[in-house]
Amino acid sequence: MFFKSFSAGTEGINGYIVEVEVDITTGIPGLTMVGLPNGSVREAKDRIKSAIGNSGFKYPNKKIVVNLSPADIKKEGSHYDLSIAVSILMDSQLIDEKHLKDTGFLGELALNGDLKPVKGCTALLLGLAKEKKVKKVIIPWENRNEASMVPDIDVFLGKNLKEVCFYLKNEGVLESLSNIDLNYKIPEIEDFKDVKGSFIVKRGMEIAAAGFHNVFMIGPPGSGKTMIASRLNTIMSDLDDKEYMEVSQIYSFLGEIPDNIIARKRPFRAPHHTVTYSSLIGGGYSSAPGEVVLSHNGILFMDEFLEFNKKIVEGLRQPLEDKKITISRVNKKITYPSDFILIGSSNPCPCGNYKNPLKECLCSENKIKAYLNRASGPMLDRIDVFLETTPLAYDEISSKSDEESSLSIRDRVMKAVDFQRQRFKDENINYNSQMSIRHIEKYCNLTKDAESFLKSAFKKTGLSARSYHRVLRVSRTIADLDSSQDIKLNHIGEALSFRKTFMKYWG
Amino acid sequence: MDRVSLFMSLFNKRDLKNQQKIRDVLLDSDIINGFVDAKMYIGEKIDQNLWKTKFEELLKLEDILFKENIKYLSLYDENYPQKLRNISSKPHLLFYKGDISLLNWKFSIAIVGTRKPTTYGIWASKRFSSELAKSDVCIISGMATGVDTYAHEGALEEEGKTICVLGTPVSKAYPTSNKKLMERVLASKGLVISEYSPLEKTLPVNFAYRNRIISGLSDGILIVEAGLKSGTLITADFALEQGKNIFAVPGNINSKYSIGTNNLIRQGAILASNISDIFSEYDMDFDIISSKSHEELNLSELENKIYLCVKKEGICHIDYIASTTGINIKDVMGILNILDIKGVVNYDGILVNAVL
Repeated sequence: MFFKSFSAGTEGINGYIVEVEVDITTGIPGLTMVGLPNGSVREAKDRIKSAIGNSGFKYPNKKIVVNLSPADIKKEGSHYDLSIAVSILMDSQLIDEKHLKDTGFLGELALNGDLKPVKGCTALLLGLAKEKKVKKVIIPWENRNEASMVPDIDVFLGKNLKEVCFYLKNEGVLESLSNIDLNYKIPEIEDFKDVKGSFIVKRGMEIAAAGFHNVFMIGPPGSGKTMIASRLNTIMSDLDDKEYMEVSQIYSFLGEIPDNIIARKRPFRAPHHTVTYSSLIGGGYSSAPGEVVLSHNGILFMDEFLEFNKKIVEGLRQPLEDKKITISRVNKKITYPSDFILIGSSNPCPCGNYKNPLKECLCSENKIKAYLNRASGPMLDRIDVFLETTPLAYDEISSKSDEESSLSIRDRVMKAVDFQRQRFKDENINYNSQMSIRHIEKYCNLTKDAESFLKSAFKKTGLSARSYHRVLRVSRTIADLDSSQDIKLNHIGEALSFRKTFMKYWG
Repeated sequence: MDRVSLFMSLFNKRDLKNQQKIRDVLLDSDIINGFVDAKMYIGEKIDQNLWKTKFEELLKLEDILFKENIKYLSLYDENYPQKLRNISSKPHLLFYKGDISLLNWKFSIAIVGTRKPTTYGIWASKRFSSELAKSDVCIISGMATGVDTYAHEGALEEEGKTICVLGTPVSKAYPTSNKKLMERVLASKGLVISEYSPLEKTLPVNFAYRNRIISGLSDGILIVEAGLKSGTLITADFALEQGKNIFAVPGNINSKYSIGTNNLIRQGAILASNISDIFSEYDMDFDIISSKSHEELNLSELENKIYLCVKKEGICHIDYIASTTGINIKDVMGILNILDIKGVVNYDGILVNAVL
């Protein structure tokens, strides 16, 4: 007898539908699995047998053949257990066939019949949701957080095989996702208020957040670089539905979606500078996504940027250029989205005190030069905003001053983001930092005195064509933050300021 | 050019006993040109093979000098600067490119300082150098990174005269980052000079030792910024020995980079806060070309507010300006840029100092 149910598989972080076919016939009792199942899938055989028995059902003493279709794609994971078990039980139990026509099943079975959570649940659900024929899906209770935003599909939560079967026999109910409160810990919100002084650095971050510009911070140790970088996502908008879908898909691949992602905060990744190539870019055994993918729609903070292995930094080129990363393995290529704000930070020299008027720098000029030259030209070219941090002692700022809160800064950022959304609604980009030369020519209109000011600055400091366009992109964001349609003189002036730091150290 | 001196400079002192006698012999042009075997005249005192090797070396050196267009002066040349004849351990040979008459310029000041100046030091080097150059003073320095570089640049900006005294042969620019600077100096009819021949290996001690020439050629030295153990203080020692005026620019007592200069002032160097402080030590008439005062600039209200804040502090951080004046940081940045271009302040991205 032939039975069929739906499940799903993943290719990278994308899910696709898998049809689980079960054929039960007379013959020597046993279960054969075909459709290129890997080790953990094949082991389902023993799990299912015990689970069925321990749930109070009878395991058929017949020949069972299970096919996972499409049969030419390798299947991995332990989440097929539930759909195979349900298909097997169709024979002996009076499962309503109507359910199987439009229901997907995901879940690993424990030997006692409990439903265990699966990895990559969001991706699997999205794979099912895009199929019109699948209207609902049953997933393990513990995967509920990952199902929260999947559109166009009804999600039911099961705790064990018995419960699921009773539901399928119309003798019981399953909890529906729409009825429950997702419990997640609301993360402790860090705030820009925590950072004293550093007005210019905060302003630079505001611009970066508004226009999605890459930032480089240079300054002595203990001048607040890490503190401010980790607070950047507090002045950025929450992940919208589309972005949330992309990010949760990525994280569910790794097992669990962190609480702050569920709370829609943009991801903040800060790999240590001893990270390996495959950890940063991706690859490794299962073509797992690297930090550049985990920071998609968020922030990648590379502290001690100049200590990162140069070859590994080169690997950032593709994501920074194309907003995606392609990992080639033996016989497949997987592409992940990778659109993030890069924040690099560094000391100005090995001892950390170059240009610090309070402490003497012990490095020779050659050492300083060699150190700063570790940042390759092409890499520095991708940075739009250069910031210099100073240790607080030098700022004779009275501590009575009230610092601006993240919420207040975020309001301005959101307005600027709205302008960009309007501006680029018919274009294939979202932010000013992504503007090509064509976009710049179309959208960056300068007032007469802004134009002449830029021209004279160009002549005086010898800006290259590349830096000229960079100044325009940043000016466009500054003008947006000022709710100005045109780019005015003071916008250009401010944008040029953010280049001075670059000239100070690398000029 | 004194070929004999050049030739003799290739020998170690101990290989050439009784140098004066040898020199007299070599002055015979047939001998120095290698036509006649010198052995007959000098005797067995010189190893024949050594003579031959050194003669080949001379030809090689002359070849390089010709190709690179490098000229040289020896003690026996009448053009050898009188000022250097007066110092102890005067250089025997001076290799050069450019205008040699600058060695006898009517008035020169050497500007030296740390290789890692702060924003203040950068500004002060350029400022003193350009103001002095405007008054027709020749600026002497070592073309090292830091203060030296800014001193040369300040002079070039005012189309003034400048001399670079190198610790390496003039055939190569050191540091390499100053290759363009050296070209600009030569293009502006300046002078690049060194006591080291292109065949000589560069030793670290050369850089300290050439400072005696920097000081020796000048009428006074100005030290802009120096830390406690700065190599610049060596130049001050030479200047003291040579009896030259030593000027020092004072700095913030908290700044590690002004400890050396402040100490010098305490020990008797003359405090220089502007070029008049330098000129008043000499019995000469100088034309001081004055720059605009800030009243003539017509600053707007906001620009003026910021300018006054900076002027009061001398040098301050941009965040300080924002919090003291209450002006929003983004407006402060925009205005500082304008004031920088107008020449009213000097702004490096976060630190600002008043210029006028």
